Amino acid sequence: MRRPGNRGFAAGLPVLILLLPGAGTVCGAAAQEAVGFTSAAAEAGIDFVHVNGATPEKFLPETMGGGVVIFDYDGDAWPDLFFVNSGSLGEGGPRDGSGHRLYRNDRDGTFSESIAESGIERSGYGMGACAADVDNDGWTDLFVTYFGPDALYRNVGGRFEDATAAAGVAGEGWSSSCAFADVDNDGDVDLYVARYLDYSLDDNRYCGLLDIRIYCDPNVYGGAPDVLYRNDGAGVFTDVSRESGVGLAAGKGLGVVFADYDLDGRVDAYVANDLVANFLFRNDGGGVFDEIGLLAGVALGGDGRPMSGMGTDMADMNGDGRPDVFVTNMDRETHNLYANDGGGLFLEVTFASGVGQATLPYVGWGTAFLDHDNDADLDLAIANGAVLDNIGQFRDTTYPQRNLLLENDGGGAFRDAGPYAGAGFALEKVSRGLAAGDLDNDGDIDIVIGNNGQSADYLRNDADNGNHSLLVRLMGSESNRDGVGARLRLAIGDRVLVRQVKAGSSYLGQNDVRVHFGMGRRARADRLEIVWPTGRADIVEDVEAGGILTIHEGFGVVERRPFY
Amino acid sequence: MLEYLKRARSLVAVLLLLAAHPASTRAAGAQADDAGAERRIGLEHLENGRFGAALDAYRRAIEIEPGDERLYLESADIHLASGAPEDAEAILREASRRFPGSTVPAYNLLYHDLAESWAGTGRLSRAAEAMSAAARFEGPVDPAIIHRRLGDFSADLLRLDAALAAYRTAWALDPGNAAVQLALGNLHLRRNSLDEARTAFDQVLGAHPDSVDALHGVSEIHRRRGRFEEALAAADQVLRRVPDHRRALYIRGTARIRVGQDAAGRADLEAYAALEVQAQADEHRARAVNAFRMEGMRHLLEGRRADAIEAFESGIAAYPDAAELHGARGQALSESGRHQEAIAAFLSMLESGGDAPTAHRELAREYRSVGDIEASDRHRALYEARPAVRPRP
Repeated sequence: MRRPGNRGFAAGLPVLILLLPGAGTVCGAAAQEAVGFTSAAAEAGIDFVHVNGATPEKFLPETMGGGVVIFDYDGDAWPDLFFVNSGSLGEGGPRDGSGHRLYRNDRDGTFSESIAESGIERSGYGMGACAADVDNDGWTDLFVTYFGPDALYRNVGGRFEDATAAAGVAGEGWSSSCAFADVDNDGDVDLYVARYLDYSLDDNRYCGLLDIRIYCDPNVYGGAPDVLYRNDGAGVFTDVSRESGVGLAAGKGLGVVFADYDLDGRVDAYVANDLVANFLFRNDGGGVFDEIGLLAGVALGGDGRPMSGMGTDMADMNGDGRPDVFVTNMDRETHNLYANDGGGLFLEVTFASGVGQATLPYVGWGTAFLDHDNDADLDLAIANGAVLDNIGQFRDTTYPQRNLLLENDGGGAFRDAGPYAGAGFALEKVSRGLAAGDLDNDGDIDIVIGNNGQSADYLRNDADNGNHSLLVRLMGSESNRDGVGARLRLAIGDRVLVRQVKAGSSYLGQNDVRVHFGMGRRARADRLEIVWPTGRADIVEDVEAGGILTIHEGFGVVERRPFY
Repeated sequence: MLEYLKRARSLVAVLLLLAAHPASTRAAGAQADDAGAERRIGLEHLENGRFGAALDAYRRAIEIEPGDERLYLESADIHLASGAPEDAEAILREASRRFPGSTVPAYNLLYHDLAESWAGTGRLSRAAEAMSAAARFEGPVDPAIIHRRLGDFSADLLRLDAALAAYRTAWALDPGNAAVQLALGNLHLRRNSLDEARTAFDQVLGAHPDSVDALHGVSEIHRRRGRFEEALAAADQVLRRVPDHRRALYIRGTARIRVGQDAAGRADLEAYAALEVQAQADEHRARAVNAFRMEGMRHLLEGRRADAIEAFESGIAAYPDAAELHGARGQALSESGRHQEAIAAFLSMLESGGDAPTAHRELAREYRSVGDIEASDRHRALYEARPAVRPRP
């Protein structure tokens, strides 16, 4: 469905006007913020239903899936969607339930399901996925994690071929989230795969009470070390987990994100672990990492408790230019927000930022820093849902939960904007994966949610508050093709907005790889600087808002399209 | 009081009833024709740990004399002791229906115990409901304890306003109760009401300067406020009293790094990490052993004794010194008529440091089953020499 662009007021749409004291004034943004996410999956033709195959045996993977990825698989500059399905672990062993789903963006607000012609045929109990151009051929490839061997699908002109064996990335065990980044700055993307538990169906234990079986606490099982694959250049990978330092410790990894937290030009990895300390792998160069989460202050809850890390994201939420860390956890724990103080240290600001109070009742999974109202600061979207399908037997809460939208006041203080965020944020489901991106190329960020055992949601951003924005798509030449890991600095007056290109974050999924800048009331930015993973910098002066820039490494802006 | 009640419940539970009601000399297994006799039979079964038979006898007693309130309450107590809070609750509900307006103090105790039983299995909504019921009766349980626990359950349920009200009631009932003030302080921390939390912890420290929990609370308040020198000092106070206090080590370590004491901070964090690894291993072991035990118990409950034995043996293979698995395996073997193997299992339970009175009681029974009366008597004597338990209030 075609919708008005982001300049004119969207009359007739379910937009609520929210007055947020102190919010939205950055860069002259409007004091009146329009927040409206429409639940638009059916309207858009997204009919995916995740199958978890829930059994009385309470196999733990059943309550953990499934992921969602936003990526442009057919190269038409319109983001497409990939939903990971799980299936059944019951009698007969692992098998495909109803298969993954690929939705091609029809560029008119709707999507066409296209898995049959995609070449993606692999069965298995899927968990998550991430996407990047592993062979720098201009087509985005897809990696899918499983409870079981993983799969890499090479994109050949918009159709996928199973390249798992040739690439050497099948692995084994229980993989969860994954992320691509060029960890050794050699011009191709490497692959990090978070691994969850040392668990097998034969080792599925009985947990709960005599009359109520529940999904086991992860502490019943041991953890599994994560895996790092180094790309040898043409999409063939080598497992470098041990020599890189990533595989030396067994965590219980559920979320992973790459960002250069110490601004040294090398991407670091943050891993959300479930009930054990989270990892911060500092990249010491050449793809060798040192785990420094405890020293840096991002391993635990502020008071020293290991938390139930699920999903994670890193971005500059307080405008100081340094990427901060957000991790989703269980209810009654609060999710955690860590502010990057520079000097290698983070300050846990969960309560000081308002995140603690807002997240206390929720079990969080997928999450993303995003500027939903184009006011030039990063807000937080969080997918929620309980772990136990029979949680109501224990507490007065439910398996489905509402998702959260936390509004940033510009300085890193957050408040729950969900009640004002439209019908999309009023849904209560068993949410897991969350991916964000401008699906309709209209200049604002939409959200896609993968729900466990339920239909997926598309929260279309229908707000229009008159704020301006910019989307930037990168094309590497010496750097990896999508510019994953590149750092972008957009100068607007006395503000500099810093963003990074990421290919994998949240929980089991990935956002649109294009970088979005909300610009408030400013229709032009003074300057855009891109520092590529190779270290090269490209600078664009006097950048006009309202469209999608494609910037080629070393060549500057090669394309500019207005928002739709 | 609460600690006593917990101990009593965990050790011998309803056997305490015997203190007030001597057992009948009539042989267990026989049926009586009046409620009093059935009750005595029930108590005798109870003494031998046969909860099912005891409850059968009480059921018959209630059928004979449905107007005897005491039978309902004792029956509920046995259900609680046998780990069946659902049945205990049903009986209590039935008693309330039959005897409206009753002020029997035992309701206070039973609802309190029911609440703790629900809480012990994680069913906090029902725990809060039962504790609220306990608060409606006067009885032996200290009302301040009832309201504090109500506050605890409410806090866990994230009913933070209700928790605050309950703690304040408890404090009003028992103004010197440090546990209530600690709970209040922690609740304020959860609400990020740092001034109120500080007041609560300071009040505790005024009366109990060595309170580790209060000192830790103070260090956490300073940490959240970014006052790292003060956080360090408070955490240091905790660690002088409890050197392996993990969370205090973490706070002191991070605070030291913040104030420039990098090497000392790193040392604290390394010490924290080592302790955490051990704690994680202990936690993993406890949960894994419990999972094996629950799996076997579930099979037993459904009559699949061979599967139960297999589950317990799988657990023992992984955790050979898990006394509870040896005991559970012994129980399953006994029910399967494999008494010699059951004896070996209960002896393993003893060797692994399991609950000695229980093991001796089961060994006495098993040796008797295989005709070794001397060994049976020896273990019976050991069982009966268990520490005396004070009668219930």
